[in-house]
Amino acid sequence: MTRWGMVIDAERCVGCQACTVACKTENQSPHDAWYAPVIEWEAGVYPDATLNYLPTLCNHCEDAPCVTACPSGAIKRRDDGIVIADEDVCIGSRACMAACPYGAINFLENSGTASMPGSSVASQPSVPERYARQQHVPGAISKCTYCAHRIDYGIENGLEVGVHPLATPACVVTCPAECRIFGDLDNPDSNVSRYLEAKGPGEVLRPDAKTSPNTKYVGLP
Amino acid sequence: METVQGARSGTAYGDGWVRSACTICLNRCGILAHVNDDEVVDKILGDPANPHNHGRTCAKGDAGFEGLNDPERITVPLRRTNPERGVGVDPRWEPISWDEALDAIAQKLCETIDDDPEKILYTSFDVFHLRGALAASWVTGLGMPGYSTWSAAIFCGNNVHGIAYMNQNAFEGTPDPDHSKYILNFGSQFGSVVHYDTMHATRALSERRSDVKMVSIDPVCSSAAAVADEWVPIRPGTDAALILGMVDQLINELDIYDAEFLKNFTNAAYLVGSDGRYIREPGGHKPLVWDQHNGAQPFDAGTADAALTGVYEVDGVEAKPGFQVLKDHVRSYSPDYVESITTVAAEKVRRLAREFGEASCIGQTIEIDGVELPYRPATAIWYRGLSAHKHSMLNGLSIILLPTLMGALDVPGGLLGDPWGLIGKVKDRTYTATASPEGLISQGFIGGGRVGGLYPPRKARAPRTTEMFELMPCAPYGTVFSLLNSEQPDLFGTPPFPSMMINFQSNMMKTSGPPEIVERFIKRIPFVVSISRRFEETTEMADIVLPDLHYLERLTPFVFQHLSSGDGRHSVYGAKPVVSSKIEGPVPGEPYVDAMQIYLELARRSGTLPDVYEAFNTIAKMKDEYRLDPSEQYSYFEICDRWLKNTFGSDKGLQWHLSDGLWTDDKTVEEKYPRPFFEARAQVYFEFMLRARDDLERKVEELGIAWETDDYQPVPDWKPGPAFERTAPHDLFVVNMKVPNHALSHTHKNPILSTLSNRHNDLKSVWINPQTAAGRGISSGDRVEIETSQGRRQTATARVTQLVHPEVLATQAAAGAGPKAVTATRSTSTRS
Amino acid sequence: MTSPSLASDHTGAPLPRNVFMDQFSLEPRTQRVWDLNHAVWFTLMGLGGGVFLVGRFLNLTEDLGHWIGIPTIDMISFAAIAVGGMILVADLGRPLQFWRAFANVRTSWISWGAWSDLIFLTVAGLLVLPALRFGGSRPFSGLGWDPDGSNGAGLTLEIIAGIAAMVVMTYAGAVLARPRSIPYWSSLAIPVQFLLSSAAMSVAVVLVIEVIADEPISGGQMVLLAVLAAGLLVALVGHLLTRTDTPGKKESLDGLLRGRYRHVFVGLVLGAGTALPALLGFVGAAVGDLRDALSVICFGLLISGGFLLRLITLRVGIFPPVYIPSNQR
Ligand SMILES: Nc1nc2c(c(=O)[nH]1)N[C@H]1C(S)=C(S)[C@@H](COP(=O)(O)OP(=O)(O)OC[C@H]3O[C@@H](n4cnc5c(=O)[nH]c(N)nc54)[C@H](O)[C@@H]3O)O[C@H]1N2
Ligand SMILES: Nc1nc2c(c(=O)[nH]1)N[C@H]1C(S)=C(S)[C@@H](COP(=O)(O)OP(=O)(O)OC[C@H]3O[C@@H](n4cnc5c(=O)[nH]c(N)nc54)[C@H](O)[C@@H]3O)O[C@H]1N2
Ligand code: SF4
Ligand code: SF4
Ligand code: SF4
Ligand code: SF4
Ligand code: SF4
Ligand SMILES: [Mo]
Repeated sequence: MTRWGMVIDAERCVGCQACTVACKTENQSPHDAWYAPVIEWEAGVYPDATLNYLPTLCNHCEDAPCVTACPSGAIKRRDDGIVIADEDVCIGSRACMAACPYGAINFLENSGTASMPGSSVASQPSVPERYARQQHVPGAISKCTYCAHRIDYGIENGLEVGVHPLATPACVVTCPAECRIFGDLDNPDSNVSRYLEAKGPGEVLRPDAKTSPNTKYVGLP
Repeated sequence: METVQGARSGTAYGDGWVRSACTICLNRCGILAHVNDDEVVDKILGDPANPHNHGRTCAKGDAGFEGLNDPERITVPLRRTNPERGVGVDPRWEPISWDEALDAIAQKLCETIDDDPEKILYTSFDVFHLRGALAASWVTGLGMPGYSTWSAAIFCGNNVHGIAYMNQNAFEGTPDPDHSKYILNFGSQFGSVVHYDTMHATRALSERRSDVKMVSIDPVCSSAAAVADEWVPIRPGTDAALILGMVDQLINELDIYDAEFLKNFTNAAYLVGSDGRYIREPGGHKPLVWDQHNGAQPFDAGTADAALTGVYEVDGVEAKPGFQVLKDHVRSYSPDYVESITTVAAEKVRRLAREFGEASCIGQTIEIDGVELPYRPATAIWYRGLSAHKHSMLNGLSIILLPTLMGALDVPGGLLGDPWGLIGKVKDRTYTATASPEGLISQGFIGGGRVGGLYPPRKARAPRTTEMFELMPCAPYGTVFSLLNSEQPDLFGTPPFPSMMINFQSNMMKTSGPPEIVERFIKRIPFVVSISRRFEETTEMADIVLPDLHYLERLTPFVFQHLSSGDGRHSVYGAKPVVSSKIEGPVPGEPYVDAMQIYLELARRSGTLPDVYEAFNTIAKMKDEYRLDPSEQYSYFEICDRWLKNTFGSDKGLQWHLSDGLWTDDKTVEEKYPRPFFEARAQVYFEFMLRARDDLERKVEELGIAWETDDYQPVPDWKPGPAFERTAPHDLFVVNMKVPNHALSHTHKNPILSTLSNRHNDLKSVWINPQTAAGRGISSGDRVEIETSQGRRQTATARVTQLVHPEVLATQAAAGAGPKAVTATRSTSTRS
Repeated sequence: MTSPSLASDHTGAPLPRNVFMDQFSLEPRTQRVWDLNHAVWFTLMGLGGGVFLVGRFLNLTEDLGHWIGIPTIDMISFAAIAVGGMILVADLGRPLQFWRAFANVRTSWISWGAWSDLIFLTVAGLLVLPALRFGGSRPFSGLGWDPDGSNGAGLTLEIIAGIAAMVVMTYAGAVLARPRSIPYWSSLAIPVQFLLSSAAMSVAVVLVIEVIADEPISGGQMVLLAVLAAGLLVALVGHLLTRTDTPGKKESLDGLLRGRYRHVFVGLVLGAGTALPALLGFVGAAVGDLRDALSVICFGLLISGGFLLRLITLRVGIFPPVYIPSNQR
């Protein structure tokens, strides 16, 4: 059984926002909706102060409150662990937004702009058209898909997921510090499992929410 | 008109992907760009086959395709019909034909060349890196004195390049991402996604996170300081004091320095008389060193154990090794004195010196590719933060002492020269540096004209341009003097003022001096041409505007050879059209692929084409079969083809570039760590400065020009810049830093990046320390009014934060927008 | 209809709403998902279910007047739920797709709500149908059950409708309480509060109708009102006193007791909206001739208090930081 997951080594992150932008150009998220914000916070007092970085995205929770809350069944958890929202089914109740402890869901107002004004983030994603959403549905929510279109494309074309750039989430591919690793958590000798082995066990965000995320962190400050 | 495009297959990602280069910032990452069925570029990924950035891109590169379909793009040549030039004054552009435009410019070029070619001001940032030999040949062919990087020249590498050439025969030095264990980051953002070789450095350093200590000395907790293990806040413009204090600790208290290296690879042992000059062999020119057994000997007499310290007598005169002079000199930089100048606690000064000295592993070696090499895993890097000040050359001369004294130049773990000086020498890479008669590295600076090196000093001459470069025997640039001369025309006996300017890919209005001063300067230039992709502040001041291309539409095989640092492999590659531009170009019937076509066309129309070809043959070292025949005419494509074949071999012409275009190679150990393999020496005692000063003083005397010469000293000092003495109410320094997700004016209109900044790092905010803010009743989010000592006023939103020195207002380089460049420069007045 | 104000950016384009004001910082963040519209339909659903049940429970349904043959109380109940439902649908991002809300009964409380609304309206509707008077005649009088549930068929329908009404009264609270995302919401206390408040409001409504229909109000009825209000008071105070330093809930409590909402919450919700009606209820139980007046006053206090309770509960919904640095735990 495959369970896709991401390990983020926060200690390596240099806060460059490449992931944030790569995600936008890949998924053409609605104007000013960011699926992969890099959180910054100050720590310490001058002169011993510093700035910390925390790359985030949807945690693709095993026990996903967004799925539980969704009346329409628009958000589903795939067998491979990817939690994905079907914007055509979504009715815009926003129950998922209230339920997600991580703010990983964005709502596109009916009056909102699907794409970024003045942007040529255009028609198609970088793998064949059928794989990713090009236009977001006003009145519906959108969220990180773990780049499911790339994963599926990779599998269909025999590319190694998490290794081949086209079979790996865009935010992972771009990361100059290589602090994001994507792979199969259920496979003991996958890249992610081995990394956790080495640096593990791996923390999760909002453990109190008991969502058992598949996005795991090491080296958190 | 057949189109010329990069091949859309054959790369690691399969069909639809074109290999090219990102040229948004100087890192020049190798990219693969995806073109969809509507001919829209919709994705950019790093080129995994390119060892320079190993398949990575940054936020800017990811969003790089923005602008291709920019509605505000300039698509046709334009001429202003409103004679009044100025900020916010509508130029009332009228479209004109390429013919008209080019003839008008060519005619002006001819007139100016006949009058005085020096009066052509050609400003461009990094055009040489992109178009290398061809751009250089154009400049030379037209008989221009060279080009001005302008803004870059005002405060980019002022105190970096000359010094790197002096001690490393390189354009600049960077730490060794694969071996350094201790990195002092002085006013530079190395290690973050700012600065150079970012992709290699970020990856290597994050991989070795736990065994590298990075210390960032910076008034602001910049993105690099945030990444570093320690942030050491410092009062702006005082670094030299801290550095010299550390040198004092190292060589006087801790007794840590690489004596072997100093004796054999530097001038540390050269004997110096009481006048500060070398003591040379009788009748000869060679400086002497002190041999413990045979007394004074020529430096190259093979003395086994030349004295570094002590006082000796040579022919009745007192003689000290340069190192001894330095030793005595830095005694005045006690930790307590340093603290009083820099606000860095005396204890920290001692600790940093100790950590640095111990991390240097003096005496240790490491085996690389089977060769035993010195292992010096500690180094210091400096950049804009130390450049953008008066006396900045003294900053550079101070800090180069740290790696030099530790023997950490171009050896594993140390400061590695990035030998851009070898542009053109792609295939026959020779890292040796020619030695001056004094035995010192004297490769000199590439470029010539209005850019130069430090050693050997140039002979002072009467100024031929407002840059007065001829009166700066050791400076890399003189650009800022143009502004001075424009403001006070007879301050220096009115050197010739430019009669025409060609601006290309630079936005001096926003990134150099105070806009109103730069505006007045440009207004005084009778004829201004700007080649640009979209309107920005500087282009709006032009008389004629020519449309340029987006980098994804360009054919520029001349992209600089990035010989990336340390263990990195060589990679040479260029930009090629990912999509074809719809813009009509300067040459009828020829697809428009690069601004160089404009330059060649201008040369043709001004009758200088043969000279350009000649220059090209020489500069690009063209072999007979590829030389350009001055009596012929070649299309840009033919020239690219010939240059490529000449450089990479007969099978690697234009077709190869378009279909593949990536040349990589392993580095020999000599290439990775050249220092042990050549003889020419680095310097720790800058005797040449005295000679430069004598010559300079003679000249300015003769010209009757009042000129500061007291910075020309053989051992560096810290000196207060004009901003150091703050007088109430102007009691704060304004400091400016770059951010990872912007590249000055290149990105300021990128919708993705500006929306992100809007949300994330609000670039319009100024950072102020809580202490300081409390005193003024300022809290985060307040609108604050800032006034500089020059009376410039600007309002901004305050961000009260622990991340900034209490005496400092920090601003972020918002893509050349806003007054940031200005406040940054004014508050720490610049001078090369 | 957009609840919390949606910002617009430098290009003037409206920003898509994220639950977080600022996705890029690590502060506790106030939810921006639901606001006024939800407070209104929460209240209406509560009333709708409640009035029906109270009417039946106190056996007043038949005595308090009719409209086209249908008991006024039931009419009020139907109207409240219908209007509440319309607001709910109108607030959806894609109202035309509202029917999909029935899809996920397995886990979604909103789906449960949707079904209970529907079932209640149909079953309760059927129940009263025989009574429907239409141009002098009763077209459905042939149907074999009596609207007041005094025969078997009638009783069954009444019970089904009653259960549906219970769910209608509760699910709004459950929607908030189910996920752990917002600690202040994530507690049984919230549905209990909503249920008690709905019940109290509903009793007040029924009493006022009694006044209008000038039916005598019994001491028992006043006691019921008082007890429900008092129960609400306990549920509220209890929730305020538990898990007070849980990240997120702490900030919510600050907002309620010290911050932005302290006057409205303590004054209007706790005091005037809950404690006072409880008190007045007991007074009314004791002093017979004050009952009419007090009922009207309690009605006003409870309805406004109930509405504000829901609105403020929504507004103090705060997400704790997604991560709490080790040195701050
Ligand atoms: N993302 C990004 N990367 C870039 C560029 C870009 O525009 N964007 N540009 C490229 C170019 S052209 C260059 S030259 C390099 C420049 O790269 P760097 O010079 O490494 O980066 P800057 O932010 O310009 O460096 C200025 C730093 O010095 C600090 N500083 C200012 N005054 C002082 C001082 O008196 N003392 C000390 N110790 N520090 C001081 C500032 O706070 C700031 O952190 O980056 C290159 N890379
Ligand atoms: N406040 C502040 N000022 C600084 C600095 C700083 O860090 N802060 N850094 C300094 C340094 S290190 C440097 S090197 C200088 C650099 O300053 P500049 O030399 O002015 O370089 P950029 O600001 O990158 O401006 C490049 C210009 O080229 C335009 N451009 C972009 N793409 C193209 C293209 O394809 N073709 C053409 N023709 N034009 C194009 C952009 O719109 C922009 O106007 O700035 C200096 N000024
Ligand atoms: S790309 Fe990587 S290094 Fe940059 S912010 Fe994202 S996670 Fe951090
Ligand atoms: S992070 Fe939020 S959106 Fe993502 S699966 Fe978990 S609950 Fe759902
Ligand atoms: S907003 Fe859409 S996805 Fe979210 S819960 Fe409602 S229906 Fe489901
Ligand atoms: S996995 Fe894909 S969708 Fe999710 S954040 Fe990364 S790039 Fe965006
Ligand atoms: S902008 Fe980014 S991707 Fe482009 S060259 Fe610079 S670092 Fe590389
Ligand atoms: Mo620069």
